[in-house]
Amino acid sequence: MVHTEELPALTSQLLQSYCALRAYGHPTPIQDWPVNLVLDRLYQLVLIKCTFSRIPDCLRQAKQLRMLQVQAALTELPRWLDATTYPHLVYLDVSSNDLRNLPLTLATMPELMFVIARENTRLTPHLAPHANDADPTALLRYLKLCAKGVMEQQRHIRVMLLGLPMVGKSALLECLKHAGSSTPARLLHDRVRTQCPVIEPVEHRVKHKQLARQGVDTLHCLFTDPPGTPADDMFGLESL
Amino acid sequence: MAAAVRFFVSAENTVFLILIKGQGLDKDMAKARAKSPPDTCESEKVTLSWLSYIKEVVTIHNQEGRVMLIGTHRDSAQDRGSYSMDLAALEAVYSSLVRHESPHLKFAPCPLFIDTLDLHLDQASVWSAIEVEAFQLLRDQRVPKYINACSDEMELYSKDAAAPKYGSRDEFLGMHVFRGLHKDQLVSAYASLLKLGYIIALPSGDPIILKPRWFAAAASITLSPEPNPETDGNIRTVTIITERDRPGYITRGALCDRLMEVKDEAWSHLEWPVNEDEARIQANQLVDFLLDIGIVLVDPASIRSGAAVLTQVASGDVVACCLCVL
Repeated sequence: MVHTEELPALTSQLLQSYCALRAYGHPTPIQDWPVNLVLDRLYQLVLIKCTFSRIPDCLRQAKQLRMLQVQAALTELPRWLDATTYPHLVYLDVSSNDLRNLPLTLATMPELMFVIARENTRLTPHLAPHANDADPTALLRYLKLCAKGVMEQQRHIRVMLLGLPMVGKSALLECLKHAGSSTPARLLHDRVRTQCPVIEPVEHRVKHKQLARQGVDTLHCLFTDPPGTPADDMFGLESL
Repeated sequence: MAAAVRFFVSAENTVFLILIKGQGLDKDMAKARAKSPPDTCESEKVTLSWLSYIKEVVTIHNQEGRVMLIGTHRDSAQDRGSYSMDLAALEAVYSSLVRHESPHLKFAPCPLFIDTLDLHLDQASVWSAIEVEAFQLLRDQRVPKYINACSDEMELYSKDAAAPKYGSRDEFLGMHVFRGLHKDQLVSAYASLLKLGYIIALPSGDPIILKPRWFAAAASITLSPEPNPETDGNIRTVTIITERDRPGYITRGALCDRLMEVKDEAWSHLEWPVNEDEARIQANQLVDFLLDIGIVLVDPASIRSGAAVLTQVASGDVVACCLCVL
């Protein structure tokens, strides 16, 4: 095992002789890693307690890799993590990172048997239960199911209205529900105070170009409009 | 804060709209600053309190939220000639909020000052701002098609008055929308619907609530002793009057009866069945749900004495009510 800070000091010749490399600790910045890091005999690579947010590009050279474990601050896995880069990869452990998604290319890696992604608390909800399953094959099995089906852009969000009573929350919700050019200029709003939380789905035709380009033509908003909270009730909350 | 609101504030992919009255904000802030020692006005305090709570919740649940600050009553501000000063005050409040941005909680680029009843420009500007925040929240969130389909289906379900309000997990996953899904896909669909707020699983796990709107309404009803004009403050929601001799105490049967009597229009989401037996079953289940989330609690001391006592927690107050053991 080497400390990641020591990596740059290792000679290519020495690295070439390694079959397994376990690097531990705070790394040097990725750009300082040896450009010609020779890892082509490497079978096992374990990088633990690192702080980088993406897997270093130089690791693409480890074509013989069977086991890869990265515990860092990864926010996404690289596009090149696929069957072409790692044709023999059997075990991938990306637990304890900051991943939101996992690429479906993992499902097409021929020898991959295990994908472990526990303790990635930001994972999208549909992946999370499989990532946290005690069965180490559950996540890959699910990714294979996803790869077989159709994927699309998530288009559901929640919108929560918060504020003092009578500030206009329910009026705003009512206003947002009205659509179309034939509506009057002003809403006739005669509702009395909201007495209990209103939870209501509202569909909205998207005009935001980037959102539309992302595949969201209709945004599905689940509005929650609770009764206004009087100031006396609020100030008991811990202040910032 | 109503316990029900606390319960519903945690959610995935949420845009929080914090509304304050924009008209008069400048004056209120100036008045508060002129105090000795200088203070902040009510709107500022409320905004910061909400932000504190939201921040705590999204951080604990490792969620990501987006916050928009909206000042209302722009039309009144224009009528009274305070628009530009109120806008500046709104921007000052916004600046103080943005300092609390975190990886979990991001802010819209600027506050909005609107007339909430304006169906053209202001409606469009609010939607536009929501879209911008949605874009940030949903970026890179590719999901299997059935995940979106299940959410769409639950939106329709929530509008169907005849559809059950709760059910066991197995009954729920037996619904037609889930037909043909692999068991792993069912797990994912269930997790997504929970996170997105289309269904609610209470700590006991089963049954699950299929109509959050129904439950939100029911959880907002407060128990109260007989009204006392001298001591009552602002009674804000429907209250269920408890026993006169033992304020805050009520038998389970009486609690169910009184829940079933709440039928005015503002509480129409309770959707009590016409059939009284069915309504009573639902009321009993409702009491169990309220027990489950601690809105109604059983007093251990009374269990020992053979008469289980429920206490209700609402808005920080504890009101006791009694459940007779049959």
